[in-house]
Parts: sequence; structure tokens; C-alpha cells
Amino acid sequence: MIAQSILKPIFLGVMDKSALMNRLDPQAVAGIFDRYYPQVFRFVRYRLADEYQAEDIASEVFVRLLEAIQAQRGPERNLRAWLFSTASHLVNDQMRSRYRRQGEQLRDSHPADDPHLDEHVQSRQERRALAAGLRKLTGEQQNVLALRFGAGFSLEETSAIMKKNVNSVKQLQFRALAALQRTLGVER
Amino acid sequence: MNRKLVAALEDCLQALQAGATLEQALAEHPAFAARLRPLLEIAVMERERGNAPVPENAGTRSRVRVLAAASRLRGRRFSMMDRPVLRRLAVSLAVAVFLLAGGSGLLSASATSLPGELLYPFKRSVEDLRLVLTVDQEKKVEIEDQLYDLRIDETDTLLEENRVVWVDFDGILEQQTGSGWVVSGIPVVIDAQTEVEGVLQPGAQVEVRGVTQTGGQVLAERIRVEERDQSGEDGDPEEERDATPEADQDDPPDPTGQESDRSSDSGDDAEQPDPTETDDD
Repeated sequence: MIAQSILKPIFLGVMDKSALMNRLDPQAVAGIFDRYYPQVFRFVRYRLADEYQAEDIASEVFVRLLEAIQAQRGPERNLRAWLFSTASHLVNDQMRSRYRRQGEQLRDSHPADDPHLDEHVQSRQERRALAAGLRKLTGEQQNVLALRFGAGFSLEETSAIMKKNVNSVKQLQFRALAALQRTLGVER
Repeated sequence: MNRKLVAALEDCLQALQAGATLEQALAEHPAFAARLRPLLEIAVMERERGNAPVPENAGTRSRVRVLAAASRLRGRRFSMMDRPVLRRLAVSLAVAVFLLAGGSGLLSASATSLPGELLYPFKRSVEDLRLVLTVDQEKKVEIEDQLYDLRIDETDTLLEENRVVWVDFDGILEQQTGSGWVVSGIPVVIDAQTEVEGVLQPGAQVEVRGVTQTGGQVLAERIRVEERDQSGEDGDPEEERDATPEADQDDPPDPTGQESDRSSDSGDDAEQPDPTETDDD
């Protein structure tokens, strides 16, 4: 099928932005969206622990992609890395705006409102602790865990997206888990 | 940092991912088991947290937003209902010239084209032309009805083939569903971002603009209730003409074309509303 042959290089993560510009028809955009949206959504949800904000930000990532391509400043080589880098920036902006809201309680309790998460996490207290603990990590540490455990990427995929070598990612995820362990006070 | 410990953590994570239990994973690295266990316990919880499914509604809403953005960025109008009449007539004229120049092969090739396909705009322009050139009002209404049915059939085909394409069609609100309405047999989803004009109630004739979904539904970007002219198609055309003030002939056509579309029985060709304002790309 023509659409498949067109999208194949995009799925491989390598793309030509001028070519993609010509492909902004609904079928092509839907193909890109369907391929990457679930992972982007999970990445954002993992970091924010909020499904509603994850939905907004994940769709915004794709709108930014289209706008960037139209402005001739879209991803040159690695679409997936571009998407997650943009998602990370948007999440950081969102976190900053949260902290700016004086007196507003952080939405650590939101995972408790999510019936899907209820099925997967043992207790509300654990969820709150994990979500709150995650925010105390550095941005890179949060990202590596979000890519591995949120989006479900392999070590190699995470390495490509973060533009770090595999050993650096291994060390980063070790530090991230160790830091999370410390913040949870479960060090043994 | 102990490189072996770091590598052992990754080994254990991969083992867990492959389905091993925590104890099985740790058994491969007994020297680091005590250090790795709390980290892996956290990893297991975090992976479970991350693996929660993506809510279907979230994906659907985001999909519409992104597709709408793509359409906007390409300079398309979301709805062809607003397309200027003169532009459409110009397209029809171009098609007429083309046909006279011997484009019958293209004409037949485009007859079975569907929205989103290369020849589809040509097909719609031919339909425009056919309506413009039809003077007899009864015949014109008959053609319009055929085209309404054709739009429904096209949308049906697209849904059966799981294609994702912008479509527009007219139809009757048949039944309300949990997520929207059935419009002339087509399940139409209405969400918070759908622009709704008019009151949706069974039996109302509506104009739908939306995107076909792989789940066999059309996600509506816009749905508009068509208000039938009270003096419309059930009335006597002769009486209609007699009752119409002459001044009306100088009025600009209704930008939406809806009312006059159904009621224009005056036979004044110069003032015919654009009969195909629901055209698509």
C-alpha cells in the first residue's frame, strides 16, 4: 500500500522533513499519530501522574510537530527523539506552572482518580509516594524512567532518544532508581 | 559507580520484562541481590504504573485535534460549506472546458473515486457542473437526492475499508447513541470539540463534517441542523413563485445555501443558490 511505503521511513525514525510536509494529509498524519501517540501519552502520564494533562500535552506534541514542519524547522533525522524531547519540554513547563500556583495543592492524588491505575498499583499510598518521589529526581532521571517504564522503550531505544550511549543510560537509570528508593525511604 | 552492579540491574530489568519473577532475576546475580532487590521492587511498581492502558477517549479526542491542526496548517477550510460560490462555479467551468476538450476517460475513471483519492475533487466538480446545468427543478432535486445517497455510500465504503479521511454528508438523525448519533445509518461520534449548530433531535436533517475512524464511526468536527424552509418542497412551485417578492431576486444568495437549496422553485436560474455547498476536497 502506498501509505505504508510512504510512512515506512518515518516509522524507522529517519525522515525527510520536506517530504513529510507533503504528506500532511489526514492519512499520513493519522499514521504518525497512531504510531507514536500511545508512547508519548504514557511518557507524559508517567511524569505528571495525571491523565487529563497527559492527554492535552501528548496531543500538543503532535500539533507542535506539524507546526514545526510547516515552519521548516521540524526534525531532521530522528522523529521519535524529537517527539519525546518536545514532550519533555512541555512536561517541564507544566511542572513549573504547577509550582508557580501558590497555595494550590500539587495533584499527587490524581492517580487515585484514574481507574486504570487502580488496577495496576497496590495502594493509593504507594502511588502518591511514587509520584511525589519521582518529582524529586532530576529531569534526566525522570526522563529515563519515563522512557523505560512509562513509554516502555528498551535500553537501546532509550539511548537513541536521549542521545546518550547505552552505558550512560544504564548508569542514569541506576541512579534514578536509587534516588527514588532514597526519597521513598525504603533503603535497606 | 560499580559497573557490574549497574549492568546487573539492567540484566534483571530485562529478565523481568521477559516474564521472570523477581527471585528468578536476582538468582542470576546473587552477589548483588541485596542491593538490587529494593531497586527492582520499585522498578516493578513503576513499570506497572506506566503500563496502564491509554484511555480510548483520550486518544480519540487527541486524534481529532491533531488532524484538525493538520488540516488548518495545510490551509484547508474545515468546512466546504463556507466556500465561495464563485470559486466553485469557476471550478465547474474549468471542468466543463476540460470535458469539452476530451476528458471523458478521466470522467469515467473518477466516477468510483472516494474522498481522499486523487480524482475525487474532479468527481465532485463534475457533480457541481451537472447540477448547475440542470434547469428543471424537479430533476435538480432528484439529482441532489442521488448525491446525498452517494455521499452516504462513500462514507460507508471508507468505514468498511478502515480509511481515515475527511468526509461530509447530509443525513437524517435516526437514533441517539452513547457517543453520538446514527445519521442515515452512519454512526457519528460527537465529543466536546464537535461544533454543533442547532438542536439535535430524531428526524432532523443534518449536515455532518468529520473524519472517518478505523472503529467504523465518523468523528464529527461539525454537525449542523438544516432548517427546512417552511414554504419549501411541499408547497406549490407556482404559488411559491407568485408569493415571492420581485425584490428577492436581487438578494444575495444565502451564504449557507440551505434554505434556498430546498425551496428554490422560482425557476430563476440567475439566482439559483449553490446547490452543492457540501462539496469536499
